[in-house]
Amino acid sequence: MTGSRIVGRLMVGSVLTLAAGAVLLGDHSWNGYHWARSSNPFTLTVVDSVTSEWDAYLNEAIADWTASSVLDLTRVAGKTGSRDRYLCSSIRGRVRVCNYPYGDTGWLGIARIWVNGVHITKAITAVNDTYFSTATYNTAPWRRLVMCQEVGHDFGLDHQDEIFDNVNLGSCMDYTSDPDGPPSNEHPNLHDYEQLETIYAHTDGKSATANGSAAGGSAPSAADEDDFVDPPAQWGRLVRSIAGGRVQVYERDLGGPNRVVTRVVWVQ
Amino acid sequence: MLRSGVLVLALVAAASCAGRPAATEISREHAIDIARKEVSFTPDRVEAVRGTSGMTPVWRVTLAGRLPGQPPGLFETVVVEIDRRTGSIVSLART
Repeated sequence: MTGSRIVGRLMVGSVLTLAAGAVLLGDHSWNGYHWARSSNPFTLTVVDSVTSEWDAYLNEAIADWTASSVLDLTRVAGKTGSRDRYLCSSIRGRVRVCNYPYGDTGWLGIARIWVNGVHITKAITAVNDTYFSTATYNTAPWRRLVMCQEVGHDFGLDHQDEIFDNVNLGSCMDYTSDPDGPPSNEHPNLHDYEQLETIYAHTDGKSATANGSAAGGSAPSAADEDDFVDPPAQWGRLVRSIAGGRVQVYERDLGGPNRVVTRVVWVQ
Repeated sequence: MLRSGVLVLALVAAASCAGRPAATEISREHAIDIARKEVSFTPDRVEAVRGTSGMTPVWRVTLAGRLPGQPPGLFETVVVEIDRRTGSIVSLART
């Protein structure tokens, strides 16, 4: 075998290895959704509406994701009243993070993004204390994993893997039944950072983030807010909100000429 | 609990167009088709209800299902809000 053939085979082997690696790692962009911005790294404000038992985990997640070369997160204090955390109203250009006992919803944490085309305009993360008050999930590894993963969704990341009982990938974007492994799934891994670099490799010439620095977005206003939690379905749609939202009137259409009007007085 | 502090008065009244379908809107089936493209799992449950997101009339499509090895009591949920007039996606929520 000549030297050139050996080199040729080695090169083919390397290409195959790279291809296999790419297949193994895969792409975990959330269908291309991303924040519009005019330059990298871009700054995104995270509104902290979690209670003290979650602060350390949110701060860790912020530090973890800020380690990305394309993203800087800044934390600002948000309202933490019971109703504020329950509703977890979104704020244009920002990420809001809340905790509340949302009930037996089937999820430990959920991320919601509002979009205009492929551009994320605002996002929230909610973690469910109904489960985190149980012995199974009231652990540092579970809290760390879920906070890291849901905040990661808010930037446009999907899961790396959705099989719970296989070997951990060492990423909080990997589903698992054993968060601390080993390897631990409590933090992002290199592939998450690479995926963010891929998602944000281009710039959009405009910004959807509400920050003063790289983004230059407009300040958020109350009119930009949407509640994460919908009112109970049986109440119907909100038709009036007075006294700063403390009194709300809902209407439910029963068909024909009939409707149910529900007046709610919220007590903090 | 918050709900215990909520005073609810319900009245049955007459004549309202609240929550009625718009004159032209995409069908429930079309909305579900749009939402299905956003999930990677096979849902056990698919539900679509009319609602509003801000001022936008939406189909709120919920898709739920279990994933391999998922711990008991947990399931995957994706909620997609779709503008009823245009068919464009307004918001997405995922676990």
